[in-house]
Amino acid sequence: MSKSLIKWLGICMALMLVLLTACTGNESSDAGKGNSNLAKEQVLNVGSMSSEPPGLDPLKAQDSASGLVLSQMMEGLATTDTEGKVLPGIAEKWEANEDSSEFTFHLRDAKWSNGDPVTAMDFEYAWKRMLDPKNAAIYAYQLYYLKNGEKYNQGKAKVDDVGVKAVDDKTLKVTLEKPTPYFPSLTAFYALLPVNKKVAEKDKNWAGEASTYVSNGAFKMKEWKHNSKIVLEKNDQYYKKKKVKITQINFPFVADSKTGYQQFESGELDEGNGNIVPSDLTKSLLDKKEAKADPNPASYGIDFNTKEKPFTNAKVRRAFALAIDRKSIVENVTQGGQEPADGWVPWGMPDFSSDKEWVKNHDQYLKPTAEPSKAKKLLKEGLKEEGLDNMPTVTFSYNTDDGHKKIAEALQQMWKKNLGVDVKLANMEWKVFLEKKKSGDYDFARTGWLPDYIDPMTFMDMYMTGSGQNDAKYSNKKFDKLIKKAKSSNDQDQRMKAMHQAEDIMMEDMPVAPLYWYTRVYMEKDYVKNVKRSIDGNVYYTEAYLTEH
Amino acid sequence: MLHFIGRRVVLMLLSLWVIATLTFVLMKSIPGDPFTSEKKYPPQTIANLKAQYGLDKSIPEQYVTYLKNLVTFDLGFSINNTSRTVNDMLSDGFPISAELGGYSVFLALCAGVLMGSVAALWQGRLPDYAMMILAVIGISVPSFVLAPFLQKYLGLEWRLLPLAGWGKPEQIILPASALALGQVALIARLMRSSMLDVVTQDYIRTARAKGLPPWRVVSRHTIRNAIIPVVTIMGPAIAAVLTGSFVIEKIFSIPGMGKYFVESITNRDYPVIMGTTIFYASFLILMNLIVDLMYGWIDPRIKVSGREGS
Repeated sequence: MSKSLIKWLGICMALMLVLLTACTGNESSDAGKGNSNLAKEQVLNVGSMSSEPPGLDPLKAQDSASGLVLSQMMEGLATTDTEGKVLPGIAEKWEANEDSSEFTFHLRDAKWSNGDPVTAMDFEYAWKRMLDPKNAAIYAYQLYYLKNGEKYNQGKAKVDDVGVKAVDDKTLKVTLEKPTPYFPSLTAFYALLPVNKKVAEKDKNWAGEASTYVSNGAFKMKEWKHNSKIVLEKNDQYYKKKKVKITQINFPFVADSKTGYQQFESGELDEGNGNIVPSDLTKSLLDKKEAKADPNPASYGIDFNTKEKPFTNAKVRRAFALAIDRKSIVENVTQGGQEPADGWVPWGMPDFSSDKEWVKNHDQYLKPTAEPSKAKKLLKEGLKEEGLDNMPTVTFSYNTDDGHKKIAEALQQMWKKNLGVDVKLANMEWKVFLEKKKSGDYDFARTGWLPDYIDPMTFMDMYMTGSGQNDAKYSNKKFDKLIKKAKSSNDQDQRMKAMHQAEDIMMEDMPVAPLYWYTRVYMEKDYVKNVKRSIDGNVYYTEAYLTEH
Repeated sequence: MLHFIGRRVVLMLLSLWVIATLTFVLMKSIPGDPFTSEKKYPPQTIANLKAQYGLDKSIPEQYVTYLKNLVTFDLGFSINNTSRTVNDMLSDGFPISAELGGYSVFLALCAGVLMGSVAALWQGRLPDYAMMILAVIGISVPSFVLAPFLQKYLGLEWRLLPLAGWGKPEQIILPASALALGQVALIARLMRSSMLDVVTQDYIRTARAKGLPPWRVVSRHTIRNAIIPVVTIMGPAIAAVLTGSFVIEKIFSIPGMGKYFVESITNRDYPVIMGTTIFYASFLILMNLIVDLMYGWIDPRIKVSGREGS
């Protein structure tokens, strides 16, 4: 019955096979040895972005993907080197008045990518635009340093009262609320970047498309294929254009790390950050030196709800912290080169009163391995002080994520083994988790903190009484006093001393138990040279180049 | 016929209104809002932001604005992708998802009907077992397992096809195959069982007795009758596949709209949640309408009629 049917089927299948195999793009890539000659094609493919940057207008930028693109395209009054030292940018030089409450910036002859000169007016415009309450900028508070900045943002002062004024095309005068000697370093941050006034006034959505985007840095936008890729090309108007060797940077959006890794292996990508390092391969790639890990000044830990029994008691909190084997967590669970944390302020943070970094300048608050007998003793004493006979049931919360889950399960086991306590685990969706922590509806929960700026303070003032960031609901008057002292002083030795003392108190009270300090994992082909990675996480391709490969 | 379509359109608008309202209620009842974040911003900043997106108004007011926006097809800017409107996002993303989905549906339909028919015609023999083993594998291997597997061998090891990306014809093959596999298996199994029902029917015997060539019996009588259940599931399946797959689009870096369904919710990006939900709902309802009309065309015995019992 079916002879002709078989024939028909056979033809169909053959056709499908032909169709499938016909469209094969064969690209051979020969991996050359490291060569110091410049490659002919200076085109860099970077896989560091997982999706569309939410906003490339400095007004809207608030995330690392936008930051990465802006770092290549825009330049502020000042820039910073890899260690965070301030260097001149669009401003050639600046001077401050006696108490550092007024700054005068002198701009160099720089141009926007459309040929317009970069003027002091562009800065004044951008900063006032940032503070305009109608524009609802997330990072408006970065400009609260300006006189009347906060008031204008709250609608309590007029725009003309804000302490920034373009004296002429090349001179910008800034008046601050209070003396701030480090103000020039803040002007490198993307919230304080200039905006071409002419362009932005003409088109409100100028930063949404490549055709209307105007920049003043080493690169300009060539193409923005939404949801797919961003292509930058060298900006011929850039004042330092001779130093820029890369002619084009492609940022394809790579949503899946395994895909990104395979694209790196195949040579489609030249480099990328953790976005192209699959978590289950991190350890073996680091061992093989294919991936590298830089210290990231950020801390992972556990917030205790100090308003919820039994974690009202510092001894109980310490007991839970001491029962954790941090070394085992970084070696067997996270496996990304992280460092067991012995304090809340992470590695990489400078101590401005000494040459050594912050973490080398204090006692070891926590041992890398667990101290079970000490922990058990503390728990017993703590429970007695709270008038409890037995340890009540407690729940450890974390936001749904494979990595956090593994850590939570390891912790659960450690608390069982070293403390004899059964802990329940609860996971929840990210924003639900944030709401629960904020409202104090939890026993103890994971926390992670990335610095807002490179100073230990960004890890300290968050635990002041009543701080919006203080999910532990921690309150200690002595701690608050020391932080306030550090904040009001301009003397680095005094500031650092007060903050060290504050951390001593905090690690005794343990509202937060530090677990580990983060790393930044990245992969880079050996023919990619001179990429600058700064401690605050910015990556600059301004002076990078490719050798023959 | 016209009466039937008219009645369905009215019902469609009614269901859309119900869906829109339910979405609004659900959206507002999940904890957190677009501006919930780990970093706590000054209250003034949050207040400014809420005012900008009209979230400072009362819930009934927001509901009215929202319905108004829906009717005028203008959902405004996404809260997360600050420089893009919802309309931009959908009109850029949908054609891509639809193209990928179209290829994969076509592939699934051809391969599925073929495999199912072969299995049924050789029931209990080798081709049947081979096809059904393939189908079981197809159903049990999720696309997110198959996709990296295809990438590793066809893309990286043998360098036959590009690993990821969109725009060139050869970049469609891997994602379309990965997306089609599950559907192939489903269609093949459905087709097989429905074919088995049909081949034992009297009219098939009659057709054969009349001396019709076997291929005509299969193509005109067997497949045409057996394909009805497949058509039934194709409506929702096409709607689901054409509006994008979160997983496949993510793995193959395809700029479709699949991810908006998931990410808009995790970001609490209200305008995008509304846009994607309503878009998907209308599309699904439309597909079901088309399927209902198709029945009449495939099998003239099924009458499409507006009035019951007439």
